[in-house]
Amino acid sequence: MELDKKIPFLTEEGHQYLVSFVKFSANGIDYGIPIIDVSITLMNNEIEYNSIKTLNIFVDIINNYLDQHNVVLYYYCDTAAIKMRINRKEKLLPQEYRSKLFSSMFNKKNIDDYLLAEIRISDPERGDHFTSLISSVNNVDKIKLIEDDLKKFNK
Amino acid sequence: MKTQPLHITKPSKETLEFFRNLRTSKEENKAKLIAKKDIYFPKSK
Repeated sequence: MELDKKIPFLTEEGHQYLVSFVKFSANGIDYGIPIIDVSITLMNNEIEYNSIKTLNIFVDIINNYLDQHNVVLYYYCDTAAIKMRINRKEKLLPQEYRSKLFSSMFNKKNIDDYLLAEIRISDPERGDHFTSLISSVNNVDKIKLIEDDLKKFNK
Repeated sequence: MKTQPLHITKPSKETLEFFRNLRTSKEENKAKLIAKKDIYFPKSK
């Protein structure tokens, strides 16, 4: 089955989004399972604001993809501005906020069937990098393998 | 199921380079997708 896929959708608020699934080379390392880069792109030139309903749609699209393909999804959080609650006590980077938002929505819906591993790479010069690996719980060993490789990159 | 978050606090130069390049390529790809927006969201006639 074709792994690369692009799914456009329009939110109730009129925002146009494109969810793209693209095979990722992972620096040529073979983990015994395809690694797929998933991106959620706001196609309008606006500051992103995600309602609960929109977040649920993202999660449903990702779930449907995982139901059809035995892969590890790799989600890299965008650094573009995003609307956050003004009264938030904790100041977060846009990519950090996206990561927390996405993980909390995903875990609410998929507590038993899927696994989500959050990864943060410190980058004091250009802002930390936030990514997640998502797959079926049956692939816990593959996720562990990727995480172990990343740990080797810690000085 | 959620695993313990992994935080790479002192990434090697190569790791940082990899993630910085990834960010740049994601931004470039995003710009390309937006430029081709009409393919995914055709204007109604």
